[in-house]
Amino acid sequence: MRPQGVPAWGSVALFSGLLGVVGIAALAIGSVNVPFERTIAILLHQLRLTDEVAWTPMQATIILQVRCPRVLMAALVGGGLALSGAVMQGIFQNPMADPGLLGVSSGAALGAVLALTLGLAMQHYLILPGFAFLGGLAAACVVYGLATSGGKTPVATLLLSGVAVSSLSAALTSFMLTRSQYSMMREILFWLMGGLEASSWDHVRLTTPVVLLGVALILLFTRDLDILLCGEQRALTLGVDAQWCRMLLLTLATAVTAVVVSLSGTVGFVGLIVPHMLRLIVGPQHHRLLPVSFLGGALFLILADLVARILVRPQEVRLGIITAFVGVPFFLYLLRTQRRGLEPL
Amino acid sequence: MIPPPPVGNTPAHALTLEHVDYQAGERRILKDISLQVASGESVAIVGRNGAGKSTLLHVIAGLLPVSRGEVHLDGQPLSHFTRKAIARQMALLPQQARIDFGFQVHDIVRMGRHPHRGRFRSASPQDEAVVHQAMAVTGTEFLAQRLITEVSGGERQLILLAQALAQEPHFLLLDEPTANLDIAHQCHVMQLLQRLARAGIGVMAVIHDLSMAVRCFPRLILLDDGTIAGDGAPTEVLSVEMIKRVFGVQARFYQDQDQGVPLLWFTM
Repeated sequence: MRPQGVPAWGSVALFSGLLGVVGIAALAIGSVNVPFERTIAILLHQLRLTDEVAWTPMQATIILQVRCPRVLMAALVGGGLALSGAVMQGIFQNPMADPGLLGVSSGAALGAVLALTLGLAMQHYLILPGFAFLGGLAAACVVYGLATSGGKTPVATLLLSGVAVSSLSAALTSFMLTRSQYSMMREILFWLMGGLEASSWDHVRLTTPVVLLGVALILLFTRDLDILLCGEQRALTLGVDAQWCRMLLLTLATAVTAVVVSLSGTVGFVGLIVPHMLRLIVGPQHHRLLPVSFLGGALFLILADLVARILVRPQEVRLGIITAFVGVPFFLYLLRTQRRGLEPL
Repeated sequence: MIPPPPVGNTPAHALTLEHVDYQAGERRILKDISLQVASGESVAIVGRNGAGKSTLLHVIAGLLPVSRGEVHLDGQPLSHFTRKAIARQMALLPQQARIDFGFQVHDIVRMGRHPHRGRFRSASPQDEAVVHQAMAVTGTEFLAQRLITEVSGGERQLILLAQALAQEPHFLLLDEPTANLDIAHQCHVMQLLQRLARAGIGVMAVIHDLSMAVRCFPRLILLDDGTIAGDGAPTEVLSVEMIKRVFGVQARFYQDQDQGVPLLWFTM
């Protein structure tokens, strides 16, 4: 049972509306609660839509300097991961595919841990995400390189190379972890569990154009992605250059993943569960699934981050822990019910 | 329901292979294949497992590069066409076409319009008309709202055929179109292919069932170890001696009492 009549713009409008409401709630709620109407007033004032000032300067600072960038980062990270996950699942015709498949996440973790253990992370706020980004891209390049021979990249080889490189990166990360000092260890573990508490407007300014550009380019290929699901031979004879198309989309999805993971740390399962839930609602057609996945992923991660902030106030739970708590049971449920996805490719 | 046969001034289309070799590593799978198929013809490709039948279809469709010779489409080498341009002329229905994602049947058939659409163009009323006609011809209209994952194997084959027809191809290549189908669907598909050929589409199908090939196709191409062992009318190509030589089984021909069609019988 699926409401096939839901038009693409209808679901996009619905999710955008939800995103607005949840976004404002996430701004208002936290270690210090700001009333909703006051939150909205602060936002309107910032957008120069009202002149009234009926709040304390501290409240304005909390909303505008602390929570706003954090909520926006949650939206970008969640949206980017969910969209990349939907693309990966389409490209590999495998519902178990996720954005970290090509070693991006573990490579990014390795890069981040390297920056932390070398003591470089303190020098500038961009050094840690920069290392993570390079680590993620390097891992993906190694995976491509290993899997490609004679200009061809067989899917099974690509997936296995991804697993192998991920394991190697994880081993190196663990090695560095055991060799690092106690105080450093805590910081590394924090990064590995993912979190958005360090988000600033600089991060938002840096991430937004990259993620939106990647998303826009991916959205040009929704019909090609649909046709790829008919199998490679059929795609080719329908006029879709399957190999080129797959490579381009993999590169874009990998780049988006590397950017967001470098800023959020390892946040698992968003890219896996969100596209799955939404496929049940809007169907597998990518011109609906991809925009809705981006919005749904943003929604999910804003909520997860909100829960992480308020679950054991005044402390924070790591974001990766929250997403795993939701993600793992869902993953196991899929494993039990969708055996089709587990057949060899 | 079927488009009328092309009017006299429409140029006929032709697929031509000249001394085509296909090599995979050290193995020559196709050796010196020369043949021509015109639109409106209906040809069955027969031969043993591993004789190169599927490979031949894939080479014709441009999925595999020739190592020697050339495939020509309307006199132009295939390498001069873009993928989309080829897809506007030729449709291939592969052997194991399966789709694991729950697309609606209507959306599956509409994908056949891809080679006729630009990247930013949504489906036009004309596209929709072609999609509807393709579903009408294959008798799949009543499935339009169903999910491809929830139809039977026979229905799925007809839907994929409708998708191929939505490409409005001049040539339709099919790899064992009746494998795994029940007898009713086998007959349905065969009748459909005959009607499509009459409507001016060139049909080339890999067929394993020799009796079916003899009965339903006016022309047979027999492949043996990558070479053409025979090309012509079914009973000429598949003589009892030839069947013995190529397939290693003893065959007998009978004449059907009512319809006068040749029937093929094998001793086990």
